[in-house]
Amino acid sequence: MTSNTPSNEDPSNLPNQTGNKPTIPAPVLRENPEPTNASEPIPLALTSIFFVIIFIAGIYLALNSGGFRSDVFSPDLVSWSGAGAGGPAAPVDPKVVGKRIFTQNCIACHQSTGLGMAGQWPPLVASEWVVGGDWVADNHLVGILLHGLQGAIQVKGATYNNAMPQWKQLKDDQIAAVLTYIRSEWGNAAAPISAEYVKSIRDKTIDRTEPWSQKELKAMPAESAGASVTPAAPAPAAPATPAAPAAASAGAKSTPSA
Amino acid sequence: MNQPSHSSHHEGTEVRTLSNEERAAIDASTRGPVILFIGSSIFWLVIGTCLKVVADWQLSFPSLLDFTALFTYGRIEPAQSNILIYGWASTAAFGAGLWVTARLSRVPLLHKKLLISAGIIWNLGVIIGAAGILVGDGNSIPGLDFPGYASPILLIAYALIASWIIITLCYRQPGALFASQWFIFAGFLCFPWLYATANILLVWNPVQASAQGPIACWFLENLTNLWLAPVAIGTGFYIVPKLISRPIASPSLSVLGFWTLILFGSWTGISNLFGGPIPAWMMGAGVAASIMLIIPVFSIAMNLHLTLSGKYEVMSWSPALRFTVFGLYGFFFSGILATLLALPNFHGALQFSDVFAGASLLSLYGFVSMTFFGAIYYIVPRLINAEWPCVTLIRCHFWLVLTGLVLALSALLLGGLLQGFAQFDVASTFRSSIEFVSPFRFLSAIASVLFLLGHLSFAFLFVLMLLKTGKSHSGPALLNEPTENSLETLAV
Repeated sequence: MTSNTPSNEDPSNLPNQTGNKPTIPAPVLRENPEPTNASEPIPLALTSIFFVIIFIAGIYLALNSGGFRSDVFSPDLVSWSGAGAGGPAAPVDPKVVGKRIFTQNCIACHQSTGLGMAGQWPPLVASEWVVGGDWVADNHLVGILLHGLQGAIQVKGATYNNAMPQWKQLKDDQIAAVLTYIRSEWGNAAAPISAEYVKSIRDKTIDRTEPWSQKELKAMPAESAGASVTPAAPAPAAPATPAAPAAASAGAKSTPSA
Repeated sequence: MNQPSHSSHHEGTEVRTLSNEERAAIDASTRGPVILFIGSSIFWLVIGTCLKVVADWQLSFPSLLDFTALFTYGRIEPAQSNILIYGWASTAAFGAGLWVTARLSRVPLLHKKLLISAGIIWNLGVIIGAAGILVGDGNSIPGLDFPGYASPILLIAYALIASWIIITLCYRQPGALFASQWFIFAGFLCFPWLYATANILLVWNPVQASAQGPIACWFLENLTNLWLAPVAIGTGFYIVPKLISRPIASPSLSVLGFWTLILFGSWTGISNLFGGPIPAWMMGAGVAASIMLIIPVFSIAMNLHLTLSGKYEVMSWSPALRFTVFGLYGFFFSGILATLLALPNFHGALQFSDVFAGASLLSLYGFVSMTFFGAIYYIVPRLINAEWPCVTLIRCHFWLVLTGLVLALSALLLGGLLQGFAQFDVASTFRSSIEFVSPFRFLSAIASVLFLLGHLSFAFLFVLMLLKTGKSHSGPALLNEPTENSLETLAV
């Protein structure tokens, strides 16, 4: 082995190396010899860990490979053998989507509890406007969401005088989702509203630009979202006698889902 | 026991000695190109960090420098990351890889003027690429933002540089190859494969859109796994045993770490496309490879630990060892973090959060940059026959960079977790997830100022060092007094 004593400390150790080559840098002179390999084995514990890791990775790959098929995009839809490939994705729960839309848009007035603010913003909990009442039904509720509401209204016996903005910028399925959410949350138990029903109301009132007033809504015949479930009953109701069929349809709707 | 003994590795050990004259002759031949590469890499480090500071502050104060399109976040951010990858890390990798290869091959470098020209062309390519991003020609593919007219310049320069490494290795003195040589050689072979493939398929002649995502992820991950990591590990595995005068503990672990890194490292990138439009098996293979990446990470860290065990105190006075060891343990932690983040449960929640910015910071700064800092502290005094002039500046460099790293990493990981959970929560809005993370982004902007200060003191130190060329009168720069009177304490 060559001497590795630092030269700038005691140059006497390098008598023959610095003879006619004065430019060997001091850092080079004090270097250790070139690295070599010792012969320690791989620790047994580490080897065992590696086998466990290989096992886990193999299992993961087997369970999530989708049978190595080029047309399988979600491992959840296929077993490891590749059977049952494809198929539609699981439908999204409208109540989950509805909760998000409610949080983003409605919570400022109606509050996360759905109780609103006494004297200012009406409650949604057990409100006849939401779950159906004497004369209010599903078509009114969807109409209010689409075009807004203005002027004095009565909710659970109290009078509120404020403005509800229109939400027709939301898509049919979003409105359906948020309505389904408020009709099934906080103890409310009314039937869900479908996106098709929202579309039908939207088409019917497509020309409307002004928000509704309570008077206008009262003049509108009540109608149920589940038209096929409660056939014929509300349809022939005249504007003069809206209360009875609306109440009947509301009752018919809320009992099965409760 | 559980593995065969690698007797072939020991046979070469007796001839693996170099006299001081031979070392000095090899260093004299590598001096020009290596100093060029290291010097320009430090230049790009400072430029890139300046841009990073601007980009990070813009995340907290969006109106900063908004008077001209040149300095908007969308250009500063890719410019800084590409400058740090190609200007700093890759250029430093050339310098370190070239020097270690020449040392271990025990032959002087031939025709070094051609290599110097290649270095100048490479820097020209980085200048054109960075300017291209700033004037708005960037590609908006992470790690591949340099415009299509800059990347051929880089590839041409690269071809010259890599050929020199390969030629030097081919003309090596007889004897077994050392672990560092495989790592560095593999890294230099992988880069043109990665960079040319990604440029051809994504920039020059883009393939159909659905295939671009997997290719981009494959490229970005492998830029670290197959290019910067092998070169940094190879360099570290040369410098650590040199500094503590000990052999590398386990050749079996070196072999295992090397092959598993090369095999599994190239597959891990796909796992970043979680939930994306790719066949399930690609995603599954990516995650499985990320789990398997624990094997090279553990092997390399364990090998390092077995080698260093009982000699850790050398880190307290040797700046080169301190940076290198922090860097190699950075590899360990960034490997663990990468594996955790690849698991679908974590990835699903954190995919679009700052946690991934933290992970890439840990791998680019905590691992690659720290290792190359250590290499530069070791290599430069040998090349220019001078000692590092100012210990205070080395200390500043180390502590500023380490504090910045810890601060930025904790801010990005904690903030990213909050951000990711807020995004995952179906009842909270996207905006609120950004509001959660904004104080943490401010902290990481402060951390990037610490980085800049640390890098400035490093650059200043390097300039002072160049001014001192050939005047090696003082002793080596030690961070602390050595605790023992052993000989290797002074081999810094």
